[in-house]
Amino acid sequence: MNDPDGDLIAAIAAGDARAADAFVRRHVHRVTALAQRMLHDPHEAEDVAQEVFLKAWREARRWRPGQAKFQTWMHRVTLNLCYDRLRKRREVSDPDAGAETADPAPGASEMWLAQQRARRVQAALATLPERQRAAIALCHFEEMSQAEAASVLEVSVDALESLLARGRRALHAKLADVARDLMGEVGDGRTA
Amino acid sequence: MDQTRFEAIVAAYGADPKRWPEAERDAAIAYAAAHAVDLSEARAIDALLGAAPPIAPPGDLLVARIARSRRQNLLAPLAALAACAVMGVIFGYGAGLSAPAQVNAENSDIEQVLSAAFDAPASAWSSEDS
Repeated sequence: MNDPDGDLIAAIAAGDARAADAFVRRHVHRVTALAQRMLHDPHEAEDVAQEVFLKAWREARRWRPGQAKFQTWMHRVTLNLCYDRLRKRREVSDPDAGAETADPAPGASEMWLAQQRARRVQAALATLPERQRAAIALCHFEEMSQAEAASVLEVSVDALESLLARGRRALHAKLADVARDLMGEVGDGRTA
Repeated sequence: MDQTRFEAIVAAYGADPKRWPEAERDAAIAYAAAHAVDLSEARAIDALLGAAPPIAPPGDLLVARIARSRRQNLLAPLAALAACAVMGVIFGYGAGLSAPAQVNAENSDIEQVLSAAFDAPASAWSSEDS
C-alpha cells in the first residue's frame, strides 16, 4: 500500500523538525475536526490533537510502511482519545442543554434560524451512540471512503453501513421538524 | 443491484450518488433511473447533516503549540538524564561524607565486642598477628 505520508514519516523518524511541522499542517485540520465532531468542544478537540501528534512522533520511529495508512492509524487514535474523554464526562445529563428551539417569530433573520438549526443538529448528533457518531463523522463530514472508515473503526464495511443507517435514522427521528422546514425551503427555492 | 442493496446504500450514505461506494455507484445510479425510488427521507437527512455547524480550520497557535510540545517531548529524556546525573553527584558526595563515620562506628563496635569477650583492646589482638 502506497502511503502518501510515507516520506514525511521517515523524515520525522530521522528527527527532521521541518517534516514534523509539514505533517502537522497537513493533518491538523482533519484531526481537530474529527475530535470536535465527537466531543463538541473546540478546546478539548485541540487537546486531543496535541495528544495525537505526540503519539504520532513516537509511532513514526516504529512505523513500517505497507500496512495500513498512517493517517488511518491517526484517526483511530483520535477516536480512541475521544472515547476516553466521553467516558470521563458520562455524567453530562442533558444533551439538549443550550439548544434553543427555533423562534418562529416573524422577522427572525435567516441567519439566526440557520444558527438555531445548526445548534439543534449539533445537539442531536451529540446524543447519538459514539460509534454511530464516529461513523457519520468519518463518512459524511470527513468524506472518507467506506473501506478507510471501516478500517478506522475496526469493523467490516457491512457493520459500518449498519452504524451509518442507524445514526441517520435516529437523527431524522429527533429532528423531523427541522428536516421538514429544510425540505420546505428547498421546495420553495429558498435554499440551493 | 437489487432493491435491498439499493435501499441499504441510500440508508447508509444518503441520496447523493457522489457518496455512494465507488464500486457500486454506476449500478446504483442505473437502478435509480430505472425504478421509481423514493429518496425523500434520505434527502431530508442529508439536509440535516448539511445544516450542522461548520468547523473552522485551527489557527497557527495550535500548530505552534504542537511544535512546542514536540520539542519538549524530545528534550524530556535529556532533562531526566541530567537530573539523574545531578542527583548522582549529590548523593555520591553525601555518601562520601557519611562513609568514614560509618566505618569508625563499625570499628568501635568490633572493638567493644573483642574487649568484652577477651577483656583486652582489639589493638592488642591485632599486634599479636604481626
